[in-house]
Amino acid sequence: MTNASVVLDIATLDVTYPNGTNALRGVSLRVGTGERLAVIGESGCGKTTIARTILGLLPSGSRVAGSAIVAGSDVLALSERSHRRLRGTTIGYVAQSPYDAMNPLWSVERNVAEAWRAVGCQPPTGHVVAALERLGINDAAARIRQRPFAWSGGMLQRAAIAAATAHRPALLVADEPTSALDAELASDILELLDSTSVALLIITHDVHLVAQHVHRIVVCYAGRIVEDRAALDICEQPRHPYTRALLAARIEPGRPLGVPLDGDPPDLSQPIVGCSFAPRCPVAVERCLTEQPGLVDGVACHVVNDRG
Amino acid sequence: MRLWRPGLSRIVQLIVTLWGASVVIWSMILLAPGDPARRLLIARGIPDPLAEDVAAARRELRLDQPVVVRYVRWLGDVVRGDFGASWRTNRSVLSEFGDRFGATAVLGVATMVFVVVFTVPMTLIAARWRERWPDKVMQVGSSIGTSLPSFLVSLVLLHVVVLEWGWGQVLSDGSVGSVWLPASALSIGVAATWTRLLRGGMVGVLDTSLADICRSRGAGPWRIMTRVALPNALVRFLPFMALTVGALVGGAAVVESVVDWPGMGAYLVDAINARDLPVIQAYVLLATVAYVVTANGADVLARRLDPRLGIER
Amino acid sequence: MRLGGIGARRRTGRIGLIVGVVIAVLMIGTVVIGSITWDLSPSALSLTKKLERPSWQHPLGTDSFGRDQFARLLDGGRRSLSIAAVILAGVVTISLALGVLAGLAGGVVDSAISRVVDVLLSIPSTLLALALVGVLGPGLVSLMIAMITSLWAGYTRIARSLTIAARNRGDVLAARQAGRGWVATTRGHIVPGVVSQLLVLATLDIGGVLAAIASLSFLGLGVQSPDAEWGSMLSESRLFLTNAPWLLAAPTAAIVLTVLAANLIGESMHDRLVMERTR
Repeated sequence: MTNASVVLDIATLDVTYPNGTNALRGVSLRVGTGERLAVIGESGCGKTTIARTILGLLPSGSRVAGSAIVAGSDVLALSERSHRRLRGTTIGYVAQSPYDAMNPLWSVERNVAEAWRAVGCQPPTGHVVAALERLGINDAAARIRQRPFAWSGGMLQRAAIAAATAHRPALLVADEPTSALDAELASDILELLDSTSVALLIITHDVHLVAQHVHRIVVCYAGRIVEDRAALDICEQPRHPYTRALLAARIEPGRPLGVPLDGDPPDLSQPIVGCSFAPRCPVAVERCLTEQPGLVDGVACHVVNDRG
Repeated sequence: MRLWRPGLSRIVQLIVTLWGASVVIWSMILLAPGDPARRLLIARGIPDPLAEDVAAARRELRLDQPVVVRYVRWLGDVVRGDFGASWRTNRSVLSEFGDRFGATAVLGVATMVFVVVFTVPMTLIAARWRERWPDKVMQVGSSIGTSLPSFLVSLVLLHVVVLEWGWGQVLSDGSVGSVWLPASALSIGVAATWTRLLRGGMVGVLDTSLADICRSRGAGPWRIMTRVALPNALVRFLPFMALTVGALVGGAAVVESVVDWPGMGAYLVDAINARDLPVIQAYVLLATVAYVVTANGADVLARRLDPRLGIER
Repeated sequence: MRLGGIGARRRTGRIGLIVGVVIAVLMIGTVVIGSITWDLSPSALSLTKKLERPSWQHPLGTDSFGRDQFARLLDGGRRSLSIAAVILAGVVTISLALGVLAGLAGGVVDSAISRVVDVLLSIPSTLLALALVGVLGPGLVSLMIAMITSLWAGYTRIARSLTIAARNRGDVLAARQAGRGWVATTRGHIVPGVVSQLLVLATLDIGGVLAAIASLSFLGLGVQSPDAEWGSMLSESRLFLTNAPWLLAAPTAAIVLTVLAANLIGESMHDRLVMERTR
């Protein structure tokens, strides 16, 4: 991948929230033009923090270190004004809950048009309707006058995608875009995301759902990347013990991810020595408790890498 | 306008409640100590009536008839707009109110204007610099503002600002020029309450994912506050805000009396001092109707604007 | 940019509570110590000492009747606070009884009580109090009756919903299962919770009640002269305020500080309880 075609380049990103939680501990990942990357992990592992950092939505008082280069600019070094100029135009965002993404007082039309108005221009005539019809909403011209509560979750999420991609952003960040939708809709939405984005960073806890839609998968645990490989490779042959457990996990709607492991993720307000997964790892050795494993061939595990 | 159409069940409830209020308000006169006929004559300025005067007064007040009948007749009159005659002046209560309604209306409008002018900027500032010193100052100011009784503020303003420092007119003639004094006194408490409510409401919106989405579309903080947070907070708290306006009615009467504002409130206070019961009854009834209609109107409007508050049936 | 955190809110609340308590302690301390040590009478008239400026002998001066203002202030403070206490005690008692009854009995009793509550709440409360005093005639008793009548409905509604919520709570059902009668269960499990919530509400309202007492007495409808009360002191001195501005300052400061302290303390208590319930 040449530099010109790298849309997102995060290097040794370290983020600590004002309340002392060290949510990201030296995370590195890259997304190239036309590439789709999924960040997988349990809740609390830091994947949402990655999204917030890229967008610049971290609470004031957060401490950051490292770099996060989006389309050529290191967003960590940008002023708030400059960062704001990237939002909506260069970086797009789709959130989990479609209803929470819409202002209930406005019609859907006005909500989607806000994607243009927020950056100081007007949507070209007919553009909103055309965008929604492209995303599979029939009879859009009449429907957009309605208020969000009258639309279904799936339709609203399409509208949210239309708003997020209004300016063809170089990078689209989707944070659990299908968690609030049922399985059938979820794959439709994922296909839409595939078709509308130049480069996609999708955050989710459901590996199986996204595996067919993305090129690479990055597995996140306790603020660190433990595996970073091609999607098909990971699904067929997961190498890190945590990834293996994740893939074996069963997703039941409405319940938290049932990863078949004992114990809980570590407390992120404390420093972690050694591998963050070691306390729960079925194959951990002495070395795992004292030395943090680096990412080698896409896997951060002493046991796996030593085996060769 | 579709926005204002209340549901059928609400209208029915409204009528029932108002009817109940009319019962309570009318029954208040039964609590008055002493002989009503004598009271009427005393209010008329005849402290030492003869027996036949008292008898005539008794007939006038229909005191020989059972309580229920008296209530029903009163209600019948009221519904047709006849609130009886003032015991002091013998003029119809409605025309006495009519003479003074304009001044009270001017005061009411001016007060609401002051409230909005105080509240909106303070709320925006407090939300924009949340937890920093402008916000803290606003919160302190808000606490102090709700602790300043309006009659006291009007008294202090009158004696310090007008009489001592010589600003403004001494005589409150009901004109727009002199309304600033009573309007300021009345608006402080309401503005303080509204600021606190709306700041909380706005902060509630700013912490949601809706605000994050707006930011992610490139909107700046002021745009989010004025176009999204404030309207949502306003709609959500509209019913509460209407309730605080209701509390204003009593305070307005006292303030009008303090500064000698030629409005209905000062007239009420005079009537209270003279024990002119028909005036008191009529005032409370009209104020209640206005209050109930306003509160329900605010509720209907809020539900229409934001259906998450519950559908109007 | 966002998420200031609940910690920050608590800090402000604690400052408010501290300020409120400090003011309250200072004022209560002054009243208590003053009542014991200050021997000038609040009602002693003096023709020779009218409208005197503040001095060592009379720290707040004298009014048009030659009465020592400091003594009147103390006397008035005691009076206002005890009146407010009586009013709120009455409101809490009535609303506890009716609210719990409505919440437990349900059916016709509940409907009847709720309808009356709704009707009373539709009348603006300050106006209701004013009108009642007007009808009953001015005086301390009328004032208390009027204030209690204007406040009990709101409290009753809250007591009722608290009772309904408590009715199906674990410990209540358990007590009933164990065979305790309704009266005992209510007394033991439901009433304490409802009472404490109502008392918190009452502390929130102390400021408002004090202000209402002052404004009604100012109009001559509450505490009658020669009894001292901050509101009536203000109205008595209206004619002389240009010559004797201290007559305005002292009662004004007293009213504002007392109401402020009451509001600050009430708000922090309310915040604390809301915080605890949402955790």
